[in-house]
Formats: sequence, structure tokens, C-alpha cells
Amino acid sequence: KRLEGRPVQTHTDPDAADKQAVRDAISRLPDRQKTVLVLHYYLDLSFAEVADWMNAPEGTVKSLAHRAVKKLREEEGLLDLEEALNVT
Amino acid sequence: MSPDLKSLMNRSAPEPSGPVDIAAVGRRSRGLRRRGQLISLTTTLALGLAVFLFFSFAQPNDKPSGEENDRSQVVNPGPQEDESETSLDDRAATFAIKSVAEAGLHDPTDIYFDYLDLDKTSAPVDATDKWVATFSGPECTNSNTKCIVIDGIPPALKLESNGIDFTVTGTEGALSKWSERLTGITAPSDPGPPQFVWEIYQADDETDAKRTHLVGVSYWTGPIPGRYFSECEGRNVDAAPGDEKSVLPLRGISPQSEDERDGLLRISTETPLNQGAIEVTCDPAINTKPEPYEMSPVPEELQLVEVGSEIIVPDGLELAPDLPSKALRDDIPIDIPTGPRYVAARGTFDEGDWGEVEGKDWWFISWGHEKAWCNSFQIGNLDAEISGWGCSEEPPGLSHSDEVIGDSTLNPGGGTVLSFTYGTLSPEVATVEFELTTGDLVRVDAIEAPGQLKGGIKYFAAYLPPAENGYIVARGPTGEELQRERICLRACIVGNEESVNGTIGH
Repeated sequence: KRLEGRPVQTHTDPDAADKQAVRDAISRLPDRQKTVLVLHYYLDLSFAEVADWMNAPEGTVKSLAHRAVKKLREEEGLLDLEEALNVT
Repeated sequence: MSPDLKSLMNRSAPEPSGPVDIAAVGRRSRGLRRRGQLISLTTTLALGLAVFLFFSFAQPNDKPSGEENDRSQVVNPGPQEDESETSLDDRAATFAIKSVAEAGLHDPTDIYFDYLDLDKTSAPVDATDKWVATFSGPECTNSNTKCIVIDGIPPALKLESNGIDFTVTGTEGALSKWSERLTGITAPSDPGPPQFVWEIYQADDETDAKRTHLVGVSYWTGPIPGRYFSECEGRNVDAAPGDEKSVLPLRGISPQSEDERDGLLRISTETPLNQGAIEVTCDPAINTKPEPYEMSPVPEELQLVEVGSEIIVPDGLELAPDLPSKALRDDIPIDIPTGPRYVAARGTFDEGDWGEVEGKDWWFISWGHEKAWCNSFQIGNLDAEISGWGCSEEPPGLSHSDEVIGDSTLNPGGGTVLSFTYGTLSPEVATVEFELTTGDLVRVDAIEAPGQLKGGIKYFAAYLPPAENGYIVARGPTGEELQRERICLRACIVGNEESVNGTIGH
């Protein structure tokens, strides 16, 4: 949940519903998993760069990313994650 | 940047007092998140199961008559034997332990019936003494496949003595599964001197190479309370002449109650032993296994070593709470502190851009769980996999309702616990206020994001005093109210979590 100063804009993208579903699911992830997904998949930071940014070992970052993707697939039922995560 | 990206980021930060470096704040906040107990306080949940009993290493003492024990002094560290005689009850208890061991049920690496107590069941009417020896272990639940206490009924052995021999005459509870193996076991009831038995089954090495740890099942055959001393040392079988032996600080064993008669004993040598076969000798002798123990080197791929643990929950690995664990994170050894620990999640790196870890397993170990306060903004931020008690669920014993005012959420800290809340904001938000039902008003500034996120997102963070509910209000640069939302403070669980790559071994 977040606070905004203005109403949420309506999407016109035909894939908007799917993308929004992915974003909503990502927003429900735990803090660290969410951060890794966004930094790596949305901001195109490498795992090494994400590790540096988060001050965490690269192995941990990869585990967080894999755990997040696994959670999105298994618990949120989002199967086409790669396509959704590659679009900003 | 897409405005939707704002909803994807969440960074934690302490209450700002001036310009803040978000990256540094983030690092500190991660520290805060890991040290959840510093933010909000409370009583640590008792999540672990009491699987094993340990002997306490009380300091031995000579006890002049009429004086109290001084357990802080080592009065006589030399080998001694207890001068008290072993009673028939003591021998019956020992017989019960030995019978379970003989049946293969006294092995912490497999299944372990931990001796608890002995009851004499009847007056001898036919020159036969009878007892029931009870045992303890993991309680049976839906997810516990290695349990031995079914429906609260402790497993038990029925024993008899005709003055010459002891005999197992029956079983109760979970021990009935091995009734054929147990019933009929017999042994002479001659006393023998009180004896301490330590059957080592595992040896391992600390990664810092300071000492070697020996773990084994142990029991005391003498009277309770008891006292036994021995000087022990370990050495590598293949050690060259002159190679150092290492002293085991086994100076005093003093079981004080019947349930301390047996258990697990873990002793660390004073100096490390090498990899390979080791032998332990004691004077007076402790009935350790005659053959040497093989100390296994830590395999390269082994990342987490649990000494003497027992897998209790198949689909949620629970680590023995009283035994330390170590893990290798990016080849750097770290210690996972003792206490209730759980594997929060595990998986295998499948196809993808995982590099050298592709195909390897990963684990997340969680520990240090405590009650804390969460709020509705943190739904999903707390890892529900840790305990299943995130903000969206109630821990056992706590109640929660969705009413805005008059919510019955409990304050686990007794009125002194602060709630730490944080979140993201649109860039036009200048300040955030929390109007709490207690009348408290907390106001914090919105924090600009750094780097390429600047201009697209802001953050807020605040410590809130205990309250039931309230409102969060976003205000613009001139103080105008932009948005008002209800918040609900709920009790939840926070804890530490660390990831390790590799496999768990024993």
C-alpha cells in the first residue's frame, strides 16, 4: 500500500492487466526479495551490482532472486514472469 | 521511470533528522531489520522443541559435611569415584537405558528415546520388583515423522527384577512399535561400580580450527545426584610420535535429577585434532566405543553443518535449537546462533542467469524470532515463510480485528514497544503524519531517493509509539492534505534471516 498525491492513472497498454498483476504480486513480496527483483529485472543491474547496492553477498542476492521468482510462480500463479519482468 | 515502479520499491530507514544517504540508511536499516529485537522488544517465542538433554558441566567440589556446594570452585580436579552405592532403582534405570540402546533406539543420528524417569509400580508381593521407565522425545504432530510422544503419552518400558536378573516385560506408547525387539531383554542385576558412559558417534572440526568437537550419547549408572570425574584426551590414530594430544575438559559430571541421567554430551578439545581417525582415552575409563572415531573433513560443497541434529519436520527443516550451526556464505564461515532456527525456504537454481551457482541448492535459515509490531503498510514485507505469522496472520494467543477504532490488538511489549513503519511516497509528498488513536501525532519528512531513482520516488520511515490504530496522512509542500488512509497496528513476528548455498549435512 502506498500514498500518492494524485489518483492512479488508467493504463491503456493491452498487456497492462498482466503487467499490473506482476507488479502487484511483486509488491507483496518481502522487502529484500522485492528489492532484488526490481534492481535486477527493472533497473538492469547485474547481480554483482545489486549485491554491492544492497551490501549483501552475491550468492545471497541470487538466492533472493530465485526465491522471489519461485514464490511468484508457485504462490501467485504467474507463469510468464520473464516476459513481464523484462518490460518496464 | 514508470510511476508504477514506485510501488515496487521499499526501503527501510530510521527516522531522519536531516539529509540522509539512502544507501547508507538502507545498510543500517538492514542491520536494524536483522536485529529486530533492538527495535521492538519482547519476549522471545519458545519455538524450539526440547529434543535432547545435556549434562551440565558443573564444577566439581569436595563437600565437607555440613557445608553447601560451591559450584564455582574446582576443588579437586583429579579422577575420583563416587563413594555412594548404586541402588536397585539406579540399576533398573541403567538397564532401561541399555535396553533401549541395545534395541537401536538410543541413536541421535537415527531415532533417540531419551530416558526421563523411573517409577516403582508395585510392592514386591512375589519377590519381584517392578518398574516403569519413561522416555521423552519429539511430540507427534501432523508434520513430524520422527516423533515418539503420541497424544501426550510418553513411551515407556516395563521392567522386572527377580533379584538376579532384570527383564523387559512390556512396552507402552511409541516403544510398542519395537515391542518384539525389546520384550525379553535381560541382564544381570549385579551392581558394579557407578560408571559414566559416553559413546561418541560424531567428531567434527570448527572452521577456525581452534578445537575438535566430540558428540556422543551418555548416561550415568550410579545414584542421583551423582558425581564423576575423569581425565580424558584425544589423539589422532595416525599421529606421528610427538604429535600433540588434546585434552578433553571432562572434569566433572554431576547429574542432579533422574531426567539428567542420560542425554547428549558434546565436548570440545582444548586444541584441534587433525582430520582422520581419532581415539579418546580416559582415566578412569569412560566406556567409549573401542574403535576410533572418524573425523570427517567438511566437504567443499557442504555449506551448513548441524551437529547431532534431527530432522523433525520434513517440509520445514527445524534445526536443533541448542546446538550451534555454522555455514559458509560465499566461502566465509558464519555462525548461526543457537536458539530456535528454521529453514524458511529452500530451492535449486534452475535454468537462468545464475552463473556458477546454477544447479546448486540454496537455503534460507531464519532465527531470533520475536514478537513485534507491524502495520498495514508492512503487509508482505515480513517474510511469512519464517513462521507463518506475518501481518496478515495472527500468532497463536494474539487476537486481531479489522475495526478502525477500538481494535483489540495486543501490545506484546507492555506499552513500551515501538512500531517501525516505512514505505514509499509519490514525489509530491513533503511530509507524512501519523495520527494515532492514543492522541499521539508523529510527523516525518519524505526522503528523496538517490541516484537514478531521484525525482521518481520518495521514502518515509518512522517509529510509532504503541497504539491500536490511526491514520497516515500525506501532506504537500504547503501542508495541504493530499491523502489520508487508515492504518492498523498488529502484532507479528520479526526475525533474522540468512541465506546459505549448498546442502545441509550431519
